[in-house]
Parts: sequence; structure tokens; C-alpha cells
Amino acid sequence: MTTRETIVIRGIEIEVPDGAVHLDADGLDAFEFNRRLRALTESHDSIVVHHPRARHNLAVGLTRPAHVMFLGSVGYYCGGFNNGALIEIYGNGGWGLGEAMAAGKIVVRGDTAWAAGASMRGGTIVVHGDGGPRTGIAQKGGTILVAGSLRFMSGFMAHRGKLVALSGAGDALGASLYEGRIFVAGPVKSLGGDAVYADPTPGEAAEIRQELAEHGLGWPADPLRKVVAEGRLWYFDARDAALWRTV
Amino acid sequence: MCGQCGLILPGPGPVGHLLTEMEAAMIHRGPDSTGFALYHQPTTDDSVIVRARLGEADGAEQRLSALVDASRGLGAQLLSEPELLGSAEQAGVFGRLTVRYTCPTSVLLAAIERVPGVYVHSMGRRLEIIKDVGDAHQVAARHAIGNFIGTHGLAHSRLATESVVNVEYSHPFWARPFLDVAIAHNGQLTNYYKMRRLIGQRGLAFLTYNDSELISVYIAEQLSQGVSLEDALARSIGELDGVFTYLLSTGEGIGCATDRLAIKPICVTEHRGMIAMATEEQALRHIIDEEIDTFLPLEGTATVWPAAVPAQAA
Repeated sequence: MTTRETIVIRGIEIEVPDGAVHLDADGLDAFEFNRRLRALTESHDSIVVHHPRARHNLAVGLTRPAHVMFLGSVGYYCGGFNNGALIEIYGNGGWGLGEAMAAGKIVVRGDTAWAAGASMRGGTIVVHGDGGPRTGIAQKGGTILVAGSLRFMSGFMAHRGKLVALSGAGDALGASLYEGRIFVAGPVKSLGGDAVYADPTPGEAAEIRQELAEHGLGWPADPLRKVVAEGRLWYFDARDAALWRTV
Repeated sequence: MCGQCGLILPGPGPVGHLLTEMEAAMIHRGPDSTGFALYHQPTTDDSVIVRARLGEADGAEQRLSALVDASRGLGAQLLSEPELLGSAEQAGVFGRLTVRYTCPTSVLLAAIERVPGVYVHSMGRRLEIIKDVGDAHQVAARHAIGNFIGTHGLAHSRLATESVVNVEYSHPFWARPFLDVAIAHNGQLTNYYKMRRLIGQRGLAFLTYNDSELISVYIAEQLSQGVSLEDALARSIGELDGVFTYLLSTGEGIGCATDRLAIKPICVTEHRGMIAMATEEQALRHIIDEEIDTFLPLEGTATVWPAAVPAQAA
């Protein structure tokens, strides 16, 4: 019987998957790192990345369904344009995590900085800590699940997709929403211009319950509220000029 | 853009070297110029260190002796040989004096700057500002920043947006004529000229037309009136208009204020008695090898971190 290789990072014991290959980011510029990582996703199911050191543009443009594990925080735009990979970050995510991703999954064990999931079109982002300002800005599809709280202006101008936060949100949640849906449990500091509360349908509640369970997140103690656009900003009407000036 | 960072060590240590390494990790944010505001341990006497740029190498020695004469003319006592620093080929040469004086700092400052071509970069009991054109490693090598032992400091690399690229417009700025107060700033003010007029009416002067220098004088004036750094920073969030995330340092510590939208990032870590903050998290990771917890100060908030070594009682 063989024991599996484990790595301890910030007190979390991580089991290294069988057959995983190791890649050290030290000494590689972002271009070379991504070139090697993409090549490894062609030949291996699991890649463990050492020393990401919060550097920018790591694991951008992955197209294979490989499992990429970052042993530490990543910088700006990690997982951008992801099209099928499972990216797991044992640390924090930087500005624009998973920007414009189309498919796959990004799991962040810490917090995310500004604008995680900006303009994402599909796939799932799971944040075990808090989501930074403007999480899910201009989201166009997919799902963002945040176990902690969201900072200000999250969900700003989301066209589509789903943003779920289990421990509240800051100011201006859902400002200038289009058809994006936000679900939030816990205290919300304020809603943004044109955002209103609505009741989740039983179908939506069941769907979210299942997604949370899939990612090891419990159902929140506080009631889950839904935030949608009232639609008054969608078409300009001179009578609504005062509302336009507030956003 | 601009990349700035601040560092408080648990005790006197290689603050110059560490800030250079942090700034080097953010070279892509602003290659125009780099500067450092470094703090010594508190001194036991009431001497003040003057850091100035003396212009071109040609004639610099004459200017140095002219400013020494100007200082002596006001009764200032030189406590060490005046030093001529820096290399001739870049942005000229620099001077460093240690003086003791009884006249107001603004009077001594005016007398020194009456020497043509001389610009004072800092005056302080603990503070020395060193800034020059070039990236972090170039400026650090030229000015031996790596040898500086101190308690805390700021560094900044600049991508000029609102004013010209030259040494005087580089960050950090000294809040003239308030000893030991310095600023590094990322952003731009939109009510700059109004604020400048108001502050100017109170008799305060600026070296440049840079908005960051204005913030430092605006805060330092309040500190001189007994307002706490926390309160002055908190008030600035309502009174300054525009985009800003700035770090303001004094002999006692470093404060940070962000505007209400916090579009200019700053990331902070408290690690083994050290407090480090930087525009980009990777700057923190550049000097700390192990995994650390970091946080982003909230938008529209002010935070103050005291330096580990208490300042000398006046």
C-alpha cells in the first residue's frame, strides 16, 4: 500500500493527485510559464504549481480539462479565458481572476481581489473567502459562488449568469444590472441603482442548494434573497432622469 | 498606474534593501522614476538631515558650499561634513547635510533654495528622501539604498500622468516645511487648484505643481496643529476629490487612505512583526518567502500602522 504525497500550505493539508506533475513558476516569465503549463495539460491530468508568488497572468488560456493546483496566491488575471480546466488556488486570487472564462472551474481557497469573474461567459468560480470589489462585473454567464461576503459594486452591469454570496455584501450591490441574477444571504449594505429584491423561485433555491452542496458549501442560516434589475435603466426615459443621475 | 509600497520593520533593519526589492517587483507599473522615503532610528540630539538635489555636476561643489554658507548665515550649526552624492551622468548630483538650527524650518529651507539650482527633497530628524530617474535597481545602486538601516519607509515608482518627468516631481514627496512627513500616492486629484489656493492662502508653499505633494502638506499642516494622523486621513477622504490611494509616513508610522471607490489597489500583510503594503500583492511575496495572509483595506477608509520604535520625545 502506498501513501499519497501531501503538501501542507497555510495549515491545509493538500493531497497531491496520483500521477501529478510539478511545475515551479520561479524563474519563468508569464509567457514561458503558460507555454509549459499548456504543454503539460496535454499530457497530464494534474499539475501542481509551486511558487506562484502572486504573479500576474498565470494559467491564462487553458483549453484542456486538466486539474491545475496553485500552492499559494496568484496575481492578476489568473485563469483568464479558461476553457475547461479546473484551477484550484491555495491562497488568494488577484485582480480579474477568471476574466472572460468560457468553461471549467476556478476554486479559490482564500479571498479574491477586484473583479473576479469579470465578463465571464461560462463555467464556475468558487471563492471560499470573500469576494473583492466589483466581483462578477459585466458577467455574461456562468456561476460565481462566494462563501464569504462581497465588496462594493459586485454584480455591476451583469448581463447574465448567477452570482451567489452567503455572508452579505457591501454597497451598491447589483448596480445597473441587466439580466444577471444575484443571490445573497446576510446583511447587504446597499443595493445599487435600479437593483431590487425579488423572491427566489423554488426551482432557483433547489438549483443553488445543489451547487453549494457540490462544492462543499453549506446552506446559509440567513434567508437567501434574490437581486435583479427593475429595468428602469434599460431604456432611457426623460422621466427617469433623476434615477440616471444617481448611478 | 504607479507602484508604491510601505514597510514597517519590527526593529531597525535593512529597510532600504527590502523596499528596493518590493519596488523591483512592480517595475512594470512605472519606469519613469523611483524614490524612497526612509526613516532612521530616532536620534538623541535635535539634528536635522537635509537632502537636496544640487543640479548638474558642473558647479555642484560651489552650490554645496553656498548652501552651507546660507545655513550658517542663519546660525545653523553643521554637525558633519556636507556630502556630495550621486553620479554626474544621470540627474545631477545630490547633497546631504546634518544641521542643528533654531530658526523656523521654512526660513532655513528658503535660504537654502535661494541658491540657484538647489532643490531640497527632504528635511527631518529621521527622514531621508532619495529620488532619481530610473527604475528601482538603478536608483538603489546609484544612491546605495541597500545600505540604509532604518525602522520604516515608503517607496514609489512613477508613471507620470499629470505632471512632467523630472526628479523634483518624483515620489515620495516631503511635506515641506514639516519635518519627517512624506507621501507616496497613486491617483490624481480633480480639486487640486482649489485646494492649492486655499492652502497657499495660509502661507504654505509647494516645490512643484504635483497633486501628491499637496496632499502631504494638507495632512502635515493638520498634524502640526495637533490633529491625529487617523483623523487627518479620514477627513481627507471627504475633502480630496479624485482618485487616490496614498501612503503617508511620519516618524511615528505609516497611514493609508483610499477614496470611496478604491480603484487604486493596495494590499497589506502583517507578518512576524513586520507590516508591508504595496500596490500589488506580488511585491509583498517578493520579500516574504512563505505563504502569508494579505488583505485589501476597505474603500473610503483610513488606516494607521505605528512604527515599532517609538519616536524620540521632543
